[in-house]
Amino acid sequence: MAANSLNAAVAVDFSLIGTSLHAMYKKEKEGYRILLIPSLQENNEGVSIEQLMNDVKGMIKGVTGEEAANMDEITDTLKSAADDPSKINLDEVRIKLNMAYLYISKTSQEDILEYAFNVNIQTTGLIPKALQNIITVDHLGLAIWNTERAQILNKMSIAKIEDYLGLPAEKAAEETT
Amino acid sequence: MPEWKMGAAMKANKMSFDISMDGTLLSMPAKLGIGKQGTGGSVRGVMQTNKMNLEKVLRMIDAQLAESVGSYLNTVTSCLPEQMYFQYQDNQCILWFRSDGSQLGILWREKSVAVLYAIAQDERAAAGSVSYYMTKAAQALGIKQMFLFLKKGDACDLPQLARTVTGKEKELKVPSPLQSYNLLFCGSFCFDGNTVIGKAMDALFGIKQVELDMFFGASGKDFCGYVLLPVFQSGALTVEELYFGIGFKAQMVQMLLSGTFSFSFLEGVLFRVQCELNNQGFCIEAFAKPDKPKHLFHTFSIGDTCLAIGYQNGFIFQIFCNLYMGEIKLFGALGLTVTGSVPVPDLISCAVTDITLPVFVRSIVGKQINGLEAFDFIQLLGLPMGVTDTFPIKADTPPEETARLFNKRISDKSFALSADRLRTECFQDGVILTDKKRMRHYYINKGGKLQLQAQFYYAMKNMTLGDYTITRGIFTCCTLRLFDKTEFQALLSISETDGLMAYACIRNLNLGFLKLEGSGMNTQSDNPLTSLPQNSLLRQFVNPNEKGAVFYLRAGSTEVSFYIDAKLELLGLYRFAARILYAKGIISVDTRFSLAECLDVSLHIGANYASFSSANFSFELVVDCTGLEKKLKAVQDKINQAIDNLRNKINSAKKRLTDAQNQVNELYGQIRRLDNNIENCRNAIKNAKWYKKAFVAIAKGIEIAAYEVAKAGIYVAIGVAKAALEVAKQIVNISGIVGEGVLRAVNGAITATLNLFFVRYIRLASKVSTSEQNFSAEIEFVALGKTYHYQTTIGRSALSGNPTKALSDNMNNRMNNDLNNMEQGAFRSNRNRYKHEEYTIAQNKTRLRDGMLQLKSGTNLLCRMQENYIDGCGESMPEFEEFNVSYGQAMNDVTSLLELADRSVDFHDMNDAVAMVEEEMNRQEEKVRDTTFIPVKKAIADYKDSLDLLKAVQNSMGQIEMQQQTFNTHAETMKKKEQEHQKEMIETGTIPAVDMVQVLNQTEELIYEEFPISRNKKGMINLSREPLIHQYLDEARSEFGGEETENIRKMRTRAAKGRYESRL
Repeated sequence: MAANSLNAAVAVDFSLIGTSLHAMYKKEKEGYRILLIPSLQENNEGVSIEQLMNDVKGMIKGVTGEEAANMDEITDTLKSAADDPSKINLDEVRIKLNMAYLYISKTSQEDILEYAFNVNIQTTGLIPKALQNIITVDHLGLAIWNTERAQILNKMSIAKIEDYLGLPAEKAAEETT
Repeated sequence: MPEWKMGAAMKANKMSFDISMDGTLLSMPAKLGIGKQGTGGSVRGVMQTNKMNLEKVLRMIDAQLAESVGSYLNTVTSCLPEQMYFQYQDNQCILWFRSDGSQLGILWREKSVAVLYAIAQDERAAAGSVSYYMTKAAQALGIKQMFLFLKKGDACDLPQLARTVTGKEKELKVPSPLQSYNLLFCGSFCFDGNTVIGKAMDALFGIKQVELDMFFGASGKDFCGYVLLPVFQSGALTVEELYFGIGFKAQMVQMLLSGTFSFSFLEGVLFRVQCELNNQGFCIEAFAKPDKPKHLFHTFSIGDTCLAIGYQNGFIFQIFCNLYMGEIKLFGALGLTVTGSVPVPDLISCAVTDITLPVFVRSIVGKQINGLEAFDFIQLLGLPMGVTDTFPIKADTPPEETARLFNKRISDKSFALSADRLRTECFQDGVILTDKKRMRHYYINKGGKLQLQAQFYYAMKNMTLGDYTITRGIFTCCTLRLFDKTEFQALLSISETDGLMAYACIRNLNLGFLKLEGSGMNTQSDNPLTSLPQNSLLRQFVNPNEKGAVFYLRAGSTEVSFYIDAKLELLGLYRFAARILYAKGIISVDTRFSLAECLDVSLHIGANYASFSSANFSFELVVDCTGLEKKLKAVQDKINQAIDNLRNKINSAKKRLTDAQNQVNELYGQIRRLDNNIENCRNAIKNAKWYKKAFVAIAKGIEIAAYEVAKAGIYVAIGVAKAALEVAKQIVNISGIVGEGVLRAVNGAITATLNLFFVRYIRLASKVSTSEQNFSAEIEFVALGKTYHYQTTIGRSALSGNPTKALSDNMNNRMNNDLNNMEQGAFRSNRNRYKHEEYTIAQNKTRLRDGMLQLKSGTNLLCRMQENYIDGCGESMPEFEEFNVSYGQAMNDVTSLLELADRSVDFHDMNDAVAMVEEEMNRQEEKVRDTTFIPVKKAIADYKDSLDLLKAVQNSMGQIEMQQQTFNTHAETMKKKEQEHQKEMIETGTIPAVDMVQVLNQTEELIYEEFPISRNKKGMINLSREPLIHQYLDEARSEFGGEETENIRKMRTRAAKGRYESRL
């Protein structure tokens, strides 16, 4: 994008994770760019995990033309923490988009898709019994992202637990055994 | 490596995810993440502590623990840092933080909690804070690191928590005496020149630098502190893991030391040393448990070894050692308490694998010595356990399996093994099992047979030594085998719980001059060893079927019993057999004493011990004196005197012969007695009721047959004796030729005839109770061919005085007349007093053979007649018992009269005399006229014939003995038959119809079968031809409305032919 050239951007409305989002759209010479600035989302009823996955997968495929990696890992992790994974029905888990960031740049030179979603999960049964007396959950969050922009991650309060513990994940695991 | 997935980077499209929770942990704000750990889940996160103190946090986890240790925590810990980390995994929670200043961890699972608080030096600690003071103290004392560890329950341990909290691999090894403590302080100390203590130690002991781990424990009112001293190594000794400690336990100060010692000359043997010193005494214990025996020198190796020395109310010395010596393993243990200057053994124990002399020498010398096997005459062996199946146990069988297999095969819990107290080791193709709970040793040989090793155990107090538990008691067992034949087995067990049990058995002990064996009196029914209860320790060892002298004693809280069963024989002359049984309050004593095979004394006492003191018991003493002349002394002296007086009157050899002849003739007197018996039989028939007359006639006819045989026996005895006396007479006639030596032999031979005296038996019996007291005596003897039988009863007054004298006087009085007659020679010239007949030796032989045939027929007929009657009538006739007793006595008469033939002459002397005469005659035949020797030769020929007759007599006595056995068996058979008929009647509920005519017919048929009509011997009855029997049978048949069979009619016709003189 050359300097002093005319910049024009238009607002676009689209729906993701059951939420209507308002993003900026800019037409380029050989393509376009879309940017959703992280902002708090309110007034939505949420979607199921499967819908979330499908939305993210559809978005990735739509932009990059590639199939998204297997996302079953997320459901596995959620289930493994429960006392009895067989009793967890992930369809009942409602996911509500809390904050979202999206940047798409599709030109002849490059295809860029950056995203970060921070969602709230409304569920019961995911906390092990042994901890139910000592833990209360105000907010169970699921964050999915692929951007490395620190400014975006900070703004969306996305940080891995290892960052809090100050230990790399592998090291922590080793010590607990 | 376990997988921890708390968010993951998506490599393909760089997608990341994270599942997080915002909430509270222990009521404090926390940010947590859910992850996956292996197959299970995990929760990790960070908790905001709001600078709360540790006690409050702990109170939320376990209020009880916080209550008990809160005061400690508040003293030594400051406020928590702002953030603490949390992790939940495998049902276990841990909360911790780690900083340069301090480290803290709380681990909890189920109902167990552990807290580790590490205090390190913090230069920046605020003045006045605990950390500040701890830092200053640490610098002065050289404390590098200090921990506080407290716990509740056993599910959480220190090393587990320390790894997370300190982040270091080094384990904090808690000394074993402290592992039970709930509150521990532990830390590393470094004493060097920079610290006050380091400087002091340098100045005092020249120790420049020492690094120590220290532990302090507190539990209730107990406190204990330990120092882990550095490794010490010298040329010969290495000391590791050496802890030195002090403790306050039960208001008693204790000094404690433990460590591992190894010696360069005992490579691989680690001695674990435990030392305890308190204000009441001290104890040092060094215990080595090498994996396998360590070689010492030559053929010797050493295994588990322990030495303990201490002082508690006296000096204590205890040791045990396993020593391997070639093919032998020895275990020895000794415990001594020295009170004053006197050592008192309170533990002695030893055990050894099987030893023989060659094995012993080979094990010591270490090589085979040719010819040594010949000395394999003494063996010290274990006591084989009576386990029939083999043990499939090897050294690598798990202890649990070994214990299970063992316990399955034993019957008594006192042998049961527990896996955690069992040691197994391979030895000599077998496996040694050691029960550490009882210090007991077993060996399973390569064939899988189990035995208790030969061992001895004596402990006077309960104690522990090394890994052995020692319980008060005594236990010993072994088998000693001599000459591969004689076995001595012994087992003794005394314990507070099981009481006393002793067993000894000696088998096959026969040293020629000394013989020991079972008494031979035991019966299976009352031998306690044949019916040992399932839980008896002895069941493992006793085989009641094996013969041997046995001693058994059991004395427990609920049972007292003993049993002795043995017979001792010394020099073949003296025998003493005893069987004593005491069980359930009943005592039974049987003893039998035998001297030189001529005196047999047996005593039986039966009593209920509970009423023993009230004199309610009975006993029976039997003195069997067959062949013995000296019995009751007064009686016997008088008899001897009478015989001596008689002898004195006989001065010349001829007179002696005449007298001997007369005494033989006296035997004719017995014929009269037998004729009387026969007459009694006839009277019995006449007096019998009509419906029994036929059976009585048959039974008494059989008895008469026996008396006739007895009469024949008298003629045989007389014939034999007379033949001998005739030789003697002829020899005396030529005494001038044959010389004095022959006469002396003749004199010896006829002395037996003069002495025709023997005592058959003496019986003394007593029955004593509070209501009745009597003492009965019975003697039976034969003098000059006459049987004397006396029986007398002595009452209470005589019993309380001199019972022996009373008995002897009583008998003497009653025998007086006969004895006087003896002295006066009253038996002289009585040849014609009784009617008698003469038979030649050949006739006697025939009569004896015929007599045996009669006896056999009589015995068979009597048995078959009674069985036939019971089969036909369903019950016995009351008279049968009397028939049997009378017939038994008649057979005894036959035996005793035949015995006379053997006793009438000393055939040994007579044979010598005959041989000498024959030799002398051969030598002098040319000098002397032939006619002189003719009567001598004839007499000798007759005498030799009579010896054949004597042999026939001995053979006949064997036959009679068999008849008597048959007869005894018959009595049992009858009883069974009658019981069967009664049982059948009860079952069917009906009394079967009796066909008496058929019974009579069958009885008569039996007579014809057993006494063939063709048998017609002079002077002997033939029941088939007896008209009276025919008559009685016909009368009975007629009364019962029947008639004889066709066969009987034929037999009757045959019986009527020829001449037969009725004997009834």
